[in-house]
Amino acid sequence: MKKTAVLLICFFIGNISFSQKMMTRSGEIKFDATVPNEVEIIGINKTASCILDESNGHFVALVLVKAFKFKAPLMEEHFNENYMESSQFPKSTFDGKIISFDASKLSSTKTSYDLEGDLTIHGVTKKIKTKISLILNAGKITAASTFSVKAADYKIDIPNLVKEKFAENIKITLNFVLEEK
Amino acid sequence: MKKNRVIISFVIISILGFLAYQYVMHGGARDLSTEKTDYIISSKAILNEFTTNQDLSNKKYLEKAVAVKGTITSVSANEVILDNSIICSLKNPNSTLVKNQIITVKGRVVGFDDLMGELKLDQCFCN
Repeated sequence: MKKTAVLLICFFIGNISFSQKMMTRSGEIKFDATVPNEVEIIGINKTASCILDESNGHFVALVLVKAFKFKAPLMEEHFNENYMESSQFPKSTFDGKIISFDASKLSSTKTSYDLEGDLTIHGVTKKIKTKISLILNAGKITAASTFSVKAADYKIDIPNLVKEKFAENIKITLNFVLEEK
Repeated sequence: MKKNRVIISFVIISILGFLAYQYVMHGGARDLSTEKTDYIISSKAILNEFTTNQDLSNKKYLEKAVAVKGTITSVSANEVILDNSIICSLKNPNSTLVKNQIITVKGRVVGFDDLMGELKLDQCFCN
């Protein structure tokens, strides 16, 4: 009798702590700071990690700054050394929640949700609020979002000399295909 | 005589312009195959260093060329994973690698992903 009770308890505890996690380690993050008619400033990172907890909508992502690729290696060097100081701050993270997320309501039609959380870039953490769209297809969730950040908000200094060549609002686009692991 | 001078200066200017363009567009890239390896280490040892002290390990390894030895647990055209924890992005696709093979991969340390508990390398190649 006791044994069954213990087993039952174990079973329930097991059930509670077990939550469905969807993840990727090859998420794509792109940022675009191009000013019209100026040099293209686009960095792409295809190795972002992301975990979505399907039980509560908890959404975390991490990207290694040094893995951003540019068309010109010199631009990559400046990005790392002068602006992002990636040796000191090697990663950027997001930790937040998809508001009113319900895994059972996901479908193959694009649904837009509110995403709220802490974005950390260059060692500075700021609360952000944006939209995220989710599509469930063949057991995989495609999460996509676009939002803008200001370099000054994250204490990224852009010298006055080149300020005109950088967009004030830097557009960040993310595209993650999350799957069960 | 004068005409010659004009032509010569024109040629020199175009060469300089071309070199400047090449430098801006392609210069500054690293080539790990000609660089000396800073650290030669096993996959478990380097991962252990990162999990025990991330800040210290970041200072020691970031951007450095390392040769990591381990067992392949997953392999695709552009990516090799050693012992489920070292993610190596290959510089050029390599189809000769197979699962469970023990290899040494040389690459640049990009950083530690504490979300996944994995270390990432890029520009990797195997000798």
